[in-house]
Amino acid sequence: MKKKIHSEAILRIIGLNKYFGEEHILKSISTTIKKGEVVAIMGPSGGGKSTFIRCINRIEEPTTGQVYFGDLEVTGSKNKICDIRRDIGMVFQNFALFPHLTALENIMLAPTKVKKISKEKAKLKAMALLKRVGLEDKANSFPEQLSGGQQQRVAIARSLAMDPTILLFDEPTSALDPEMVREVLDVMVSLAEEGMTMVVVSHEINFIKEAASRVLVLVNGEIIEDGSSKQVIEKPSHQRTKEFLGNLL
Amino acid sequence: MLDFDINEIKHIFFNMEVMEGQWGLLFSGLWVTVKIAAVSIIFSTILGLLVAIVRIQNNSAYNLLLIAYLEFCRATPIVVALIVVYFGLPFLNITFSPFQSAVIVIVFVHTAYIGEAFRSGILAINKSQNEAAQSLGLNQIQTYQYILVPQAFRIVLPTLANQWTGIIKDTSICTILAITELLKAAQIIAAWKANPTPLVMSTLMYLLILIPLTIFTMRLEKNARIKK
Ligand SMILES: Nc1ncnc2c1ncn2[C@@H]1O[C@H](COP(=O)(O)OP(=O)(O)O)[C@@H](O)[C@H]1O
Ligand SMILES: [Mg+2]
Repeated sequence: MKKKIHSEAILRIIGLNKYFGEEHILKSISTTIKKGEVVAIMGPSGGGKSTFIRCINRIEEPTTGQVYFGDLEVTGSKNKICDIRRDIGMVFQNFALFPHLTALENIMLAPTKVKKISKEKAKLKAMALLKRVGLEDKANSFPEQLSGGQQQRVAIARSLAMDPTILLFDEPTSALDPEMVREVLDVMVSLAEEGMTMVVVSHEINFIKEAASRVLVLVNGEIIEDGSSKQVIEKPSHQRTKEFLGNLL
Repeated sequence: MLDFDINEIKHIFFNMEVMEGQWGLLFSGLWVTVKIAAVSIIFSTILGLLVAIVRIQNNSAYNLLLIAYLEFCRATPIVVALIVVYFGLPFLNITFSPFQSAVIVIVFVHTAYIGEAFRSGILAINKSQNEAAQSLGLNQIQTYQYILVPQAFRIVLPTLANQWTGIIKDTSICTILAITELLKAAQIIAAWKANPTPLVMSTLMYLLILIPLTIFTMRLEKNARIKK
């Protein structure tokens, strides 16, 4: 598999701190994510992985620090956050499809309402995306009529419909029955192969080995490892990482 | 001992001779009631939704005001409110027609309850719905319009149907005003004929309004495609 790593920075995170009350959840995190990178974030539960990924598009408000998306500052009030968010896709652990809309309507909503694309164009595109995730026959199904794996694939298609520059995934397969994990990972692998920039919180070791160009390990709000997947998984530098990976296998 | 003659009951309560020539008045009363109810339902539902959305923003000044308003509505009998608006406000040179007074009072009171229903409906929606909408770039208004309100509507529909029924029943407070709605029309005929049959007919007519409303809400619920 070819990994095109360009030097163009998509995300720059500088001194990011997050407190929940007195609790210091993210401790001055800095990192840069470049175009085409697939960055996996691993780490024990409660370490701050979700909080970190949610601070990137300000679904969670960072306490201090800056996030830059290209040249645009995400933090602060200079740029309109909605305009930035439409280019940053996000896939949630619990899918978060809109239950009152069909699969097709879920995918068409943001392109028609946010980007003001015509219904006809949005529908063509949504159908193509459904086909791509293998669900063209489910266009008119409601979320409750779909399995978890199918819902998550629709959710990925929904994010892709906005033509995002980067996709954020927060444990996209951890709410799924084991037999459905693969169908979702397959879609993610194909996105990685096409050069989509992705940040993925995941503990799917095989997916990480296959698709991730870089692995961050986040423990107690700090990045304790940052290297290629081979490096981090096979020769971790911290005892804490070894223990954690040992528990996974 | 209950010892009623069925014919006597018919003669007193279901006396169609009494109704002869009176249906016109009763139906015009029904029409007034329907108008008051329809206007009140529309306004209190829309305003209730707005109140709920303001409440959810957690602006403490507005919240305090709205909580005071809610408590006021809970504590005040609706007839008292109507008397204040219709008979009291003219002393301040604020005069409303009977129709306007009725709608104002009913909307004022029911908006409070419908607002609380919508608020709990919106709060019952998983917060990841809001986050998913925001992550797609929807702004706050769009998030309410396309995601939160449609879902809240489905959640509160049974409560809403109850409130709407309550509004229809509350139109009967208008009997104290110079407006001939359904109950007033029935009272007039009953007094004039010295027979309660028109009152019985008016209760049947309230039922007549409730049936389409019930069918309407049942259809809405059927279309509400969320199973909780
Ligand atoms: N909304 C919140 N309010 C208070 N504490 C929170 C909130 N969200 C997360 N936390 C706390 O922050 C810490 C990190 O949580 P999270 O980012 O979800 O970790 P992870 O995704 O790595 O499991 C946990 O201790 C969690 O309890
Ligand atoms: Mg998490």
